[in-house]
This record gives sequence, C-alpha cells and structure tokens, in this order.
Amino acid sequence: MKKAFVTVLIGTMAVSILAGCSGSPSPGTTGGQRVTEAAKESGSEKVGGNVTWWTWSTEATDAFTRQIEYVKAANPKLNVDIQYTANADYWTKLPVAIAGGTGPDLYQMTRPSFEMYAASGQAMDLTDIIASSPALSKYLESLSPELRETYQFEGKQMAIPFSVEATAIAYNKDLFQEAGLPDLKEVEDTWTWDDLSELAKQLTIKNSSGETQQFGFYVAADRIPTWEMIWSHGYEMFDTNKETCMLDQPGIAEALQPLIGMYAEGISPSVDVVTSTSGDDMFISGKIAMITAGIWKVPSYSNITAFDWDVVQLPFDAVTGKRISSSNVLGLVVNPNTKNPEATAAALEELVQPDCQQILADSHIYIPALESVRDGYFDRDQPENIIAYKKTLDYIHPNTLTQYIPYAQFVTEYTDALRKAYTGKMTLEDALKAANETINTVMDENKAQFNQ
Amino acid sequence: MVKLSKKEKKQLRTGLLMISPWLVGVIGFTLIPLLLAFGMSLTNYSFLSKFKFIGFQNYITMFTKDPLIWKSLGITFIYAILAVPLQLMFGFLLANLLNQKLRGIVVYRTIFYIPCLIVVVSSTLLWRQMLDTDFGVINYLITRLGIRKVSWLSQTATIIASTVLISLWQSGKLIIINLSGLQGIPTSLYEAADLDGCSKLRQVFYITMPLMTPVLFMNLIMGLIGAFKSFTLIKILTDGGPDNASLVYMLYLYKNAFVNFKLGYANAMSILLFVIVGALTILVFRSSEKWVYYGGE
Repeated sequence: MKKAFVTVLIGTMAVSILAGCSGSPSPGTTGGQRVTEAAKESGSEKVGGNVTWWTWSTEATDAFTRQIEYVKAANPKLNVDIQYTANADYWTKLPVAIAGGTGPDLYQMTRPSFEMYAASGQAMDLTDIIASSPALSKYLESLSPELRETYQFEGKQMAIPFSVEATAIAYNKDLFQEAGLPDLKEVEDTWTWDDLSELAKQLTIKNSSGETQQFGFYVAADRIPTWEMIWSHGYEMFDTNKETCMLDQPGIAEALQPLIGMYAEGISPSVDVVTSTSGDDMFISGKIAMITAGIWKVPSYSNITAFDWDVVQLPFDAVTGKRISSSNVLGLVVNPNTKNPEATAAALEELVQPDCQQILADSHIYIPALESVRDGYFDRDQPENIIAYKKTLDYIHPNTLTQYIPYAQFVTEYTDALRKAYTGKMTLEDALKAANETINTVMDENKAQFNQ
Repeated sequence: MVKLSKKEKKQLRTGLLMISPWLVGVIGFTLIPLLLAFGMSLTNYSFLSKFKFIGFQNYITMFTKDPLIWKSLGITFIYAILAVPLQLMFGFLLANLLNQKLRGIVVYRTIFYIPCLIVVVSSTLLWRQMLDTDFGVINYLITRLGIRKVSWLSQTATIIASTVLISLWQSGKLIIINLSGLQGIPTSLYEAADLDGCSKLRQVFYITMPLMTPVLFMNLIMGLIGAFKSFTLIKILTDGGPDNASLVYMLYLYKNAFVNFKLGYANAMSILLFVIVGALTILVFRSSEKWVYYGGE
C-alpha cells in the first residue's frame, strides 16, 4: 500500500515537472510566407490576434499606451500587450528568449545592435510582409533613404524604423551670463570644437584650494561626443564591409585630441568622477556649464528650475568644416519565432500610420522617423532653441556597427581605451591601437563562427 | 561486488523509492545542469550563431590567452581573503555583544538584522549614492572632518574596501547564526569558570570559541562560497570598472555569457569556479579535524 502511494506520488511529480516543458515551434513555412498567404486569403478583412511587444523605453510609456489604444480602435481584433524591461536587462533577456524559441512577437531594436541580430537569424525578413502590405510599403517609401536602408541587412528589410535621435550641446545660460560670455546661439553656426574648448576654459572656476567648483564642459568616456567627432573629421570606425575595426587610424586620435586637452586642463571632471557620478546630475546641479545632450535627455533637463538652460547644435570639425551627429535610429523587429505573424504584421500596419506616429511626436519623447509628423515634437517651449535638434537631423549618421562584435562588448573596449587616454595611462594613439587589436581579435573569432 | 540477499534488495529498492523525490531533484536540478554545463563548455555555443564541438579549446584559451581570467580571479581572491575573515570576526563579536541580558536587547538585535532584509539591489544603489565622490554623504562627512575626499569607486583597493564594508553592514544573518550558537553553550560552563576565577577574556578563548567552532566552520564554508559567487554588489556599484579594476570572477563570467554572447566559454569558466570552490571546501573540511570541536568528542 505504502509502495503504491509512493509510486503514485513520484508519478505525479514527474508529470508536473514534464508539463512545464514546452514543445518546439513547428517547422514549415517562414513567418513572412505565412503572413502573405493569410493576407491573400483574408483579402481586405482585418486580421486579429494577440501581439506581445517588448521595449525598454519606460519614459515613453504614455506615448506607447496611446499608440496601442489607437491600434485597438483601428482594429478591435488586435490585442497588443506591451512589456517593459529595464535597458540593461532587456539585452540579456531578449537573445536568451529568442534563442530559446520564445520571446515577444515584436521587439524594439537600437541601431548598433541590429547587424548582430539580423545576421544570426533573430530578426524576421520583412520583405514579403512589406510587399503584401500597402501601409508598410507606403510608410517605408515616405522615409528618407538613409533611415529606410539603415535597417536593411544584405538588401533585405529586417526592421521598421520608427524613431530617430540627434545630439546637441546643452548649456547653462546663467553661467554664460555671469562669465560675460555671449550666448551660444550667436556662435552656433560657426563654432568649432576648439572654440568650445576655449569657452569651457573660461567657464571653469577653481577655488583657493585649487578644487574645481565649476566645470566648463562634461566629457564622458562614451560614444557621445566621440563618435560625432570621429565622423565629423571624416573617419569611420569600421571598413565598408564591416569586417575590420579601424580605430587605429591616426585621424581618429587626431579627431579626439580636443577632449584629451580638456581633460588635461581640468576643464572636465576627471574620469574617476565621471565613472561614479552622472554628468546629468552635475549639469542639473549647475556644476557644469556645457554638456553634450542626446535628445532623450531633454525630458529630464526640462525639470531644471534653478537656472536657465538651452541647446545649440554641435560644433564643427575645425579641419573638415563638417559636423555630424550620431543617431540611434530605433526600429521594430518581428521575432522569427512569432506564433502570430499575421497579427504582428497587422499591428505594425497600424503603428506606422501617420496619426499613430503623430502620437509619438506629440509625446515629446521620441522624434518620429516619419518626417511629415515631426513638427509636433518640436512644438514646445523648453528648451527655447529646441529647433537645434531639428536642424541636426539634416546631418545625422545612424549608429551602424557590425555583426561581428556585440555592441556592449565594443563599447566596453572603446570606453576603456578612452579612459586610459584621458587619465594619461596611455597615449590616445596607443590606447585606440590596443582596443582596435582586441576588437579585431573578437571579430575574427566571431567571423569564423558565423562562417562555419 | 557485494551480493545482496533478496530481503536486502527489497530494502534497498524501498529506500531508494523513499528518497526518490530528493534524488530526482538533485539529479534534475544539480547533476544534469552540471553535466550540461560541462558539455556546453566543450563547444563554442553563442546565442547568436550555431555551435560546434571544440573540445577543450575554451579551457586552453582560459589558461593561455585570457589575462582577464587571472585578473578577475585575483580580485575575487583578494575580496575573499579580506571579506570572509572580517565577516566571521564581525559576526562573532557582534553576536557576543548581542548575547547580553540587557533591557531592550531585542530591539538592538532587530536593528542589526534589518539591513539583510533590504533587497540587495536597492541597498547597493543607496550605497552607490553614499559613496559618490562629489555628492556622496560619506565624502561630505569626511571632508567636514578635514580629510580629503576619496574616490571610493575608482580603484581596485577602494572598491574592494567599499564592497567589504557593505557586506559587513549586511551580515545580520551571520550575527543571528552566531547568536543561536552562543545561546546553545551551557551557562553552567561559565558559572564553573567564574567559580574557578577565570577572567571573561579567557572564558571567550577557552569556552566560547571552542564550542562555537562548528558554527564558525559552517560560516567559513558559506562565506567562502558566497565570496567567490559575489556578483550583485559589484555589478551595481561599478559593473567591474573602471577599466576592469573591480572585475570579480562571477561578473566576468556573466559578461562573457550575456554581453559577449560566448556561452561555451562562460560555461568553461563556471566549471573552473566549481573546481576552485570545491577544492577550497575540501581543504577547509580537511583542516576542520584540527580546529573544529564537536561537543561529546
């Protein structure tokens, strides 16, 4: 009796453990083919279903919620469930979920990570979906070629761009007035990085003990403003085929010299400080006169009440006379594992509608990729010169990377090289050369793996 | 091979059946994942591409081509050497202090236990704010005392010191375990010692500590394992930076798995960690014969 009871107990446990295992997705046609067939069958009938959408953009919760309401109103059969994950966790959770055969139907993509996901089959080829969708075709045709093509991989459209970013210089107007310096808007159309350095020097104030009380400019060991400076100087970080990193070009070290100088002169907080203290906190507390500010900083800076602030376009490169802004074009990718490709395509069709994109603009969180609805974003009182970001959109460079190194790993090597150069542990040339070597080693290993 | 009688075989079968739920758990959730991890460590598995069997290449790379492995192991060992003895001493001394018959002692015990009730991520974020070079309250206080402010999170030494400090702040569990051990020591021993004119200090060394050795032994094992698995504190405080100055082993393993997407290599690192912690545990167990006293021996 006891034996029978124990046997039943073990059997129940075994069944409950095995019940948690999910089956693998059934093989067969690709997602794009299934959607095309469904579209042909249904004709003009709206397709419904459940769509899960993953994003990290918690700051855009309100805008996305209203977009989902728009989608629901346009197509009551669609249920879009948006799930937010903090940025750092998002990039851990996403590839694990997709590699495990699960994950969302639709997920948000940042430009530098795109190549790796596209090359490894973690993004659905949308060619067939777009071909059978007048709405998506029209949307993509209305984007600039640069934005449209930035989410193409090997000639195939793998994501739908929906937002574009830009970088400007935010500055504390009160500190400029106190120093008797002209407002930056007066020099916006002519100033160079050397001019910025000179102004920053005049805005840096030390006390009697030699401690800096006010910094002229915040230089982060980060992609901003370094990628801007590299591209403005006429250089790229990778070759045309994106198979070799070229950070060891002398021109790149030359492009970044103004930053080294500013660190050496104490115009910017030291690397020790910028590691542990956010530049935003220092700018918001009035300790820094100027800071490079991606468009996503504007909402947090808008809460500043202690002083007057504004933005201006980036400085020009003194040698080339050009200025280029980096841009993280955000896109929406369809998961190749999606069990609801038809519903996902239908949701995309509604999300790209101009009225739906207008919601994004009116939220003042993201600049829509669709140019015709962008003006809503710039219709705001603060900052006064918000139009600087609009003008910057004329010279953006999407943050393209390569499929052969994860974005986070590239950034780690790159920023470590910058820190070593800033602190004087190595010259900038040597630091970039060492980082270049490491990055190329990783790329060679990954190339071998991709091509096996 | 021992030949079992029919009755013994039946008893064996019944015994195995009785422990089978635990056996299923150990096999399913410990042994199989361990074997899978070892198997994966022999491949170049990545989330983003197909994988193939590469033998012991990952291990060869670890020992010959990856300097960060040794750096991260070095930092982890330094942390373990500092943190574990300090945690043991701190827990033991505080438990002794809290083992007094004083009014309101329960309140003090609660206060010392509260920090380990706070979620580690939240408390670490708070500590990061407090340790901030420019805006942190710790630097504010020390500058008021005329001491120059310290960049707590910019060099290996100060980062490890900060991490040890935070781990001591969170040692409420250790204190409670020590406290329960202290309360298990018969008071008659202390009374006899008092009668014999033994000082309080000598009582600690000759009564308390020997009888507490089983508890200290357990805390040492758990402390060592915890030190080598330390991850959350460093991830939140510095994320291994600046320039890998605080890159502990578990964090490097995590980065290889989820940042660099090298799962095969990360699994090889986990097997190495298993071997290191296993070896240290065996060492401590072997040494326990010399210094751990189990009452009744």
